[in-house]
Amino acid sequence: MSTPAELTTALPAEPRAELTVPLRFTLNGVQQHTTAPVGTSVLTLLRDRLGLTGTKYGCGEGECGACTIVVDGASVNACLMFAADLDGRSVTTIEGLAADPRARALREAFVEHGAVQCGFCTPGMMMQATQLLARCAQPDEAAARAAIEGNLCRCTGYKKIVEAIVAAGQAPASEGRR
Amino acid sequence: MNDAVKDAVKNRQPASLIGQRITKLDAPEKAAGKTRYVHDIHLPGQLHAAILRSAHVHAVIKRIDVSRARALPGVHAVLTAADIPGEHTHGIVIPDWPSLIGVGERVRYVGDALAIVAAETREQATAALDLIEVALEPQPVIADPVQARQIDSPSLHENGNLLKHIKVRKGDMAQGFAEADLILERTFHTATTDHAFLEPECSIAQPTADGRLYLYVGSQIPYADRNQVARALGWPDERVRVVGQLMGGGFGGKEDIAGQIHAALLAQATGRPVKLLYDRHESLIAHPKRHATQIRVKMGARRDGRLTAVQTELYGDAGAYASLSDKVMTRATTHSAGPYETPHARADCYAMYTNNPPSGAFRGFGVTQSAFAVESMIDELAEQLGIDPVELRRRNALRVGSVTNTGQLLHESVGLLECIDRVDSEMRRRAGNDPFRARPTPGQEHRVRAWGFAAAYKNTGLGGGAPDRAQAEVELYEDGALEARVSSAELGQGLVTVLQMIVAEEFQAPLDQVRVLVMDTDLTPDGGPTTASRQTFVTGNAVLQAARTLREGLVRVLAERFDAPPSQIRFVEGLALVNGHTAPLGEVAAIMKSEGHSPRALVEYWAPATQPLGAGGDMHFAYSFAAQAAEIEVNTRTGEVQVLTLIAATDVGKVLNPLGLLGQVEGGVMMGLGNALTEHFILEQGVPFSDRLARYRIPNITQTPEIVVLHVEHPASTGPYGAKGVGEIVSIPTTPAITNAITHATGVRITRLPVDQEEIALRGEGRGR
Ligand code: FES
Ligand code: FES
Repeated sequence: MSTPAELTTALPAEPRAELTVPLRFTLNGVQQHTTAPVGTSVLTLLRDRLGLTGTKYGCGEGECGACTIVVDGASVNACLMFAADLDGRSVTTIEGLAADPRARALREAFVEHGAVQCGFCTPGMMMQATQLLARCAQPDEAAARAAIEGNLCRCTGYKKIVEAIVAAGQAPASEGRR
Repeated sequence: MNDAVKDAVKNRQPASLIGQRITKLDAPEKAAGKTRYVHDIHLPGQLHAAILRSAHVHAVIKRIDVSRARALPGVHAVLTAADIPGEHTHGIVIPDWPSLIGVGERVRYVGDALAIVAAETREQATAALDLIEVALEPQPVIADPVQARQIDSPSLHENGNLLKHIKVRKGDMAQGFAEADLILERTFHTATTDHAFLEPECSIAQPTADGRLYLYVGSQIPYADRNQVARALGWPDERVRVVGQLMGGGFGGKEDIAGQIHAALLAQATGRPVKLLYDRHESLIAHPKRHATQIRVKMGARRDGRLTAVQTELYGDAGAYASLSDKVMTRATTHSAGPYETPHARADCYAMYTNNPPSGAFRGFGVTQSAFAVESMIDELAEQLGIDPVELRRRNALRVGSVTNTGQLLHESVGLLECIDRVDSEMRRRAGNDPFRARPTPGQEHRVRAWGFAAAYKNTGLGGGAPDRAQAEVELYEDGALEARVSSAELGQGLVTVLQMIVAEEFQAPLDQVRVLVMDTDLTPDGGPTTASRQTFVTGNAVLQAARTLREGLVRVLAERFDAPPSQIRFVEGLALVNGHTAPLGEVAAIMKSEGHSPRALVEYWAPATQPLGAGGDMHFAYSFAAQAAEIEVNTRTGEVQVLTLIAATDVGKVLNPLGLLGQVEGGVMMGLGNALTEHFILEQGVPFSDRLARYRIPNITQTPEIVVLHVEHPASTGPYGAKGVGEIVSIPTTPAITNAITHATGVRITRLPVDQEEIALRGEGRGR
């Protein structure tokens, strides 16, 4: 979206040569060698260049959490991070959780407890919840609530998401692992 | 199959799925992040679109020069109004909304589109916008509906600024007020609010080799999209196919057509697929909002609390274009006497054009606003009369035999009293007998708690004489799969799961044998709009009828084939049982085909007829009812309000899936909470300040209270298994329950939404106890 150049003569657009940087990082356990334009966000890199569309665009400015990913063990808004800053780091996205047993317990709990409606916030919620379970195998309600403070959901009212996270911590699979 | 199994199957009583806790059909994929939304689709060769929007609130366009933008490398097309081959305007009710504003025409809000660009990349398309030169002549701005009705205000549309004057008349107001022992009068204001669905709008238009256009979009009304896009292209409807995608939320905000027409025009012009994604800023600025209103309520009652007269005057900010304002404000008006019986009622509503973003459908459909006003007044009435606010509601509550303010005799399915009683006893169980008294927290006297109460009703379905119908098709395949096909929309509310349950129930087939195809105008018949809490009822009924028609077809064929009376044929666990024979459903499909019948049924269901407003009789075929109580805590130093507990009882006729219903209630309550406390789409002389999520606060987890959900079932005889709508009613009483609680805690009357928490701190001072 943009504003018209009202009664003015706009500058001719210089076809800008794209400045790109080389990148090496681990994505869902696999080493990546790629390049990214300097100003590109991690979200754009993942979605548009690498085809990983499980991470969602909801606002582009760190307000909604739909783009939550995990970088070196910490959850991050992919829309706020420059792709160039990924160099040398390790990234996990929702696609990387496919085989993770904690994530499996979470997926089952999300379905079972009705924590998914439109599903657009769900990948971000799943990333936060997996992070939480990695830190604390059996989170209580307060911990579950704290984990998703930065993630918006317009459909569920959050209650079912919290229930699902707590339940996933109680699930036999995750108990067995402790 | 061995005999033991056969016996087991034969002796099994069909188990009903209805009322069981069923997990959502599409939840596993969504939880794995595998669900594809429109933005996730990438078509080979696709171009990216960008829209030049006015940014002027009100102006006449003098000149648009796109030549330099066209010359930019990577740009494939730059279109203005002059390039539209078909109709220039769109609109679901009144087509008054120009898809592009041309030279000599008028922009009426900041989101109006002047030119559209398709380029190789999004960056190029956006860069091209900067090269478009526009000359325009600013006009005086109409910023609110009251101003719009003033005689010297400029006219925004040919027929002036009054979009509609809506009237409700019952009885004789002079008599009603003469009979009152107490008359109260007060004016309320509600703010413009936004759906803030998490997924911003996206559409992709794809020209096909055979000269058609496919449109991938998340839309609440696929057939209306098809029609509106086809009209803009100058094509017959059938040449366009809407391939609806799962949506990241809608809540009414994806009923009006958004970028669909723009994407389609660019695809037609370039011959390439075109993706148009709104960023959040554009989404907030462009799409229709919930109406800001001014509502004056005058209410008369006898000493015993019985209402004698309710008079309301509403102003609704329709914004720049008609959208659904006519319908939304009609609903606000007809519900403006609350869920109560009053012998004399009068309401006048002025839906006014302004230079704000258009207002349209938003969960609650106008009733959210009028319920706040009327429920606040009812509470004040109770206080002045010295009657318990719950008791006052009970005395006036609609019940079977009541006549509404529009003259409708309610003859069944009115569970309001039970909702009130259930919430009341749960509230008093927790709070004791004086829940509405302010209770300072011991040791922290500036923190004051109190409860508040509210009730509401909301129609199911379009009503008002509009034909309300849906087509549905159910087919049985030779592999045993059953498929339901409807064009209705899945926004996350769980429609596909309800339809899956209905088909499984009718065939006594396992759930995983049933699939549901929705939102494709080539493959699914027209189910009408996904609005007005109508899908469970209308499309549910259509699928139910289609399933039953198909089942009867199977029974006829089986009866003939096995020479058995139809009454002896049963369906259990995906099998047909006849005369000691057991046939899997797939086999029955094969039998039908071999005999020249096709194993599918297409029906068109018509909901019971309704009457237009003013005609009396049944304006709606069903209503849902609700009562809620909220316990809040106010920090009287800062004015900060926290909702601690919310008890919600809803009469939904019949609970089809308690898990889905819980999700609707909890999500709806949180929307009502946001509407009460934080949500305000701030406009200054038509210019949005709330153009980012950071400036439009929807509730997060820290605001989620304990939510206690109570189900009330007063079946609607014409609903599927007795069910009626639920999507909107759950959110309506929340706001006034919270604001009434704030009044009880602080003594401050809330007349304006969202609650100004600083003002509470100031005005509540001295009552800090
Ligand atoms: S898209 Fe990154 S926080 Fe919203
Ligand atoms: S499920 Fe829709 S936003 Fe969370």
